[in-house]
Amino acid sequence: MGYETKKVMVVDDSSVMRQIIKNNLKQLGFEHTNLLDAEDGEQALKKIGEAGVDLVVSDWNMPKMTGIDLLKAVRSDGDLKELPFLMVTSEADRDKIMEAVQAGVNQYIVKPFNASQLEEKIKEIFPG
Amino acid sequence: MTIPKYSNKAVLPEELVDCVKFSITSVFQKSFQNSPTFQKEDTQTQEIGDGIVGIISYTGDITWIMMMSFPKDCATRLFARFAGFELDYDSPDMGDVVGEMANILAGNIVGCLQERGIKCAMSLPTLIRGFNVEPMSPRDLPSRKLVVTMPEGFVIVKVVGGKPGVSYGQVPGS
Repeated sequence: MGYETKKVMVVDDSSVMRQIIKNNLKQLGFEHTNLLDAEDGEQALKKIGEAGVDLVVSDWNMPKMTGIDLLKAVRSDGDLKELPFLMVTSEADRDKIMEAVQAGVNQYIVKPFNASQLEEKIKEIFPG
Repeated sequence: MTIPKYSNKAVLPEELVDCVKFSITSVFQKSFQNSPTFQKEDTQTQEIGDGIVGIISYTGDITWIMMMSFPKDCATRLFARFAGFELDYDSPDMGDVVGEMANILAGNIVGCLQERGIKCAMSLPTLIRGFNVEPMSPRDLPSRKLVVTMPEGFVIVKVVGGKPGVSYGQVPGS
């Protein structure tokens, strides 16, 4: 699968989780230099606007701007509203999952996850 | 379902303890690629010693806290497995990953409780490093101490009940 040219924004307030997700993405074929990161939604939104990305992989609970607020900001931006958004979070509450779905999330993974779960969701986002 | 009210001799609702155990098994298997075993609760003698602790509080149908304690050596080995790279015990990354693990376990417990008709919201994790760190819980609150054994060592998960509608800890000015 040709993920080499896809640019991904990984958003998580945990630096270890950002590294774990980026390592998993590299194993799936994403290019190291195309993996950007941010520690909260606010920082991510700024970088997304500057760099232009093909996918956002975001945690939910973060300081300053949460993942759900980032998702809503992306969906309400005319230039970014179609940007694929994958939520990777410890929020297993059904109401939270429904809130994310209603806000327009493309895929949702409850932590802990493994590489094959991530691959499955990425394939759903980038079929073929 | 009916949520049991706490009395002076109260015990924690079995649904809560079941969900904690179920979630520990599921989360540890996925995170550390090994199945945990629970020691018999009446034969536990372990203390954490030098270690790191993640604490999450819950409010809702049941008010309670969960304390997840990792001895130093076990934390170093377990989280190397979780992250796929070594983490220095004294680095901020270790606090980061313990907080993440507490958060992941807490989120899974919320999902499990919800499936049983019990609604709870959870806090962000609080982290403490120290020697034999224990929570100061108000008298007469029920608690359970679960000692979880992994090939890398043991982890203690302590569950302490709270009175519905009352925050954990002392009321300011009391």
